[in-house]
Amino acid sequence: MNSNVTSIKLVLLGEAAVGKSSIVLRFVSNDFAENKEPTIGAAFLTQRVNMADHTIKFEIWDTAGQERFASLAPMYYRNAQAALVVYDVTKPQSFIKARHWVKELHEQASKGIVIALVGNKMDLLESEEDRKVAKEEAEKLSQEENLLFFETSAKTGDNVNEVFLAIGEKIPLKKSDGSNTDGLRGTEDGRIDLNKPDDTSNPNSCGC
Amino acid sequence: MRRSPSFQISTKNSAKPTTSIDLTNHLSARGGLFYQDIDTGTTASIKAKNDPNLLAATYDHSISADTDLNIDLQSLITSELNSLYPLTLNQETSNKSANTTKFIDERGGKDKHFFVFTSAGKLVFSQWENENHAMGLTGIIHTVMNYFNINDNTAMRQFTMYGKDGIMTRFVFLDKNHIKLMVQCNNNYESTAQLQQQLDLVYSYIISSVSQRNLNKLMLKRSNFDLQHYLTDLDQQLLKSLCESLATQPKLTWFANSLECLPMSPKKRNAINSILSTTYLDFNISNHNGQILYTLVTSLDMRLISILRPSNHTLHTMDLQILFEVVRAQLTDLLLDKVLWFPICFQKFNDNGFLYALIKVLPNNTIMMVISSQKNAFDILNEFVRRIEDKMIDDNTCNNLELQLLDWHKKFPYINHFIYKMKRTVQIYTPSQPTNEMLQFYYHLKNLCEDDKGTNLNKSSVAMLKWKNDATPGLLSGVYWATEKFELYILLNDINLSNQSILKSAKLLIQHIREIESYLFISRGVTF
Ligand SMILES: Nc1nc2c(ncn2[C@@H]2O[C@H](COP(=O)(O)OP(=O)(O)O)[C@@H](O)[C@H]2O)c(=O)[nH]1
Ligand SMILES: [Mg+2]
Repeated sequence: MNSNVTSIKLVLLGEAAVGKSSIVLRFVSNDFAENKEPTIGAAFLTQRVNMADHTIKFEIWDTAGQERFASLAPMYYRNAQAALVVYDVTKPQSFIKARHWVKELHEQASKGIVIALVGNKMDLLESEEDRKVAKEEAEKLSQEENLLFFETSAKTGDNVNEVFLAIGEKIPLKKSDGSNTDGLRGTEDGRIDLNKPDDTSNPNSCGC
Repeated sequence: MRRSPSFQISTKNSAKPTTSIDLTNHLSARGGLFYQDIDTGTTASIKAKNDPNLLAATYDHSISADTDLNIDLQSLITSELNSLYPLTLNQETSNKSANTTKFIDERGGKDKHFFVFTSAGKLVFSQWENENHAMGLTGIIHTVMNYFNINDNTAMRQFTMYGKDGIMTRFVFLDKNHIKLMVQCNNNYESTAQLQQQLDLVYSYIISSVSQRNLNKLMLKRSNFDLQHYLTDLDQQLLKSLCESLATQPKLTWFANSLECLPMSPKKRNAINSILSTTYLDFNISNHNGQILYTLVTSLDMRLISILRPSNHTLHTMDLQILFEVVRAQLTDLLLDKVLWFPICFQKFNDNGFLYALIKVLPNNTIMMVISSQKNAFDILNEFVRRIEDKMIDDNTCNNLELQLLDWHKKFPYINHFIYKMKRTVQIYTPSQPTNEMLQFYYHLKNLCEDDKGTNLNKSSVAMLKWKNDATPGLLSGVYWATEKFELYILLNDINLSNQSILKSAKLLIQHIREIESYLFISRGVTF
């Protein structure tokens, strides 16, 4: 048993049907369902992942994304340390919704929250014409808002684990420059120094 | 309302209903569902302008308004319906007389279609493939319903029409706040009251996701509000599957307006009851007063194992039926160890507000459902469930909960199938899920003892019928026995039983069930 367990509260946000639950299913069970029934409200689940020398316990809120449940969203991201904001690369509307979520998170969620912007359903892009959200646009948003960025396919599994690993790597590192006595990890690849300081200059931040 | 008192069970083999007796009072056998004569008092026969075939419609209410107007109205309905209707009408019968044995053999497919529209006549949901046709029909029905509302101030409950092929179609309505519901029904074994009950279930489902308060707000702001697109994909999917099962595979619990319990040894049930109540007490001591409203434990197929509830509140059966439908649809996710948390409005409990439900499947294959009135209570409820889970895992009695009652067949060799409903607790027991065909027989029996509104004609009554059925050799007998305490439905598979011995079997069965009542039903639940 590994006693170095870090818990990470993570929330998935994004328009309905972009593939949030499918990303979770891929991550947790390495599985995919062609006709997944829509989530009602929100689903909570935990998943342990062994990283180099410790274990991360992801506590995941998979939200429904329907407008009707929007008023419940703050409850899920309030204490979250990480968020996946998911859109569908073939649905421009879902990217607009993703922008809104990023904005809302910066305004309302805890300040240090790690946000990953995730463009899902990459497998649907047989040619560049199928793509409705330009990669550059998403990259631009990620840089402006200090987000991790991935394009994934829950169907094929491409890049899905990478999202969670990147979050897992980023969060303890962040803690290490705070109160956390975290000499346990991160040093082996010497990336601590590359960690950007918190971007607190966000104009939308209420500072509370 | 007058209806032809004759009802036909079989034409070919002339196996007429044999007996209909009443032990206490007088039972008025009612042919309600099986009338084939058109009631001349309330009917107009008209030649539809664009259809040379004779069509007729009967109304459930006597119409007092101007006769000419009515005939116009009826001709409008019948002609319009006929132009829309043939697409879905079952055409296979050329026999003009309503042949009621056919309902058993031929209506295996979908013989009902549900429609929901707003008070402004906007379509919300329909089971017809062709949405344009559905909108057309909705428009007509809407006009007709309003007509009755305005002219007679009566809500139209149903009307019946016969196609040129002699097939009877009924349209049954339910008019709710801002929502109208309709079912188009080609079978003749469900009564108007029962169909309205089903419409009420559909209505309650919509309210469960929207709430009456929100619906009122939306509709008052804009009376032609587009509710269809306000409902989410999830709502539409659930509505669809609810109506689909109402039409093709009705649940026994819907038929009997009740819930089913998991048969268990009282020792096991008590073990679970006490885990619930001790955990609850621990919780309340640590100052979480009032966060937990109801706690239900069920099997994976939604049969009740235990209930913990405030002593001054009970939950309405239909609210729970809807909760169970929602949970059933999420079962694959639940089996992946997800914990669900969602708002739900219990229409019969309080249609203005939402409650919040936590749902989790435990390792002993039970489903925990905890209901709170507070939307931020997830962490507390989750902890509550986690502690219950720990205790259940530690306690061996909490495994293999279902008790198989294997011997009833040996004890009652003539009895093919039965349903027993304990009225006080609104719970049923059946040894196995009835087939659709069995349910139709049960409907038939029940209808004999119920009035137009679905209430029993007498405090206590017994009905017995024999059917000639091609599928099974010989005759099939059925008994329906209702008292203030219970309802019993039995199907027996022997021809040569006398009525006396059939009744004797029924009595013995009741005796037997009483003896094992504590295994079959939750008599009190745990209250706080
Ligand atoms: N082709 C493809 N389909 C996907 C992918 N991810 C999800 N889907 C499908 O998209 C639909 C919605 O997915 P779901 O996970 O329920 O979305 P959610 O509402 O965001 O949770 C389902 O039918 C999935 O099978 C993907 O990466 N590729
Ligand atoms: Mg989902």
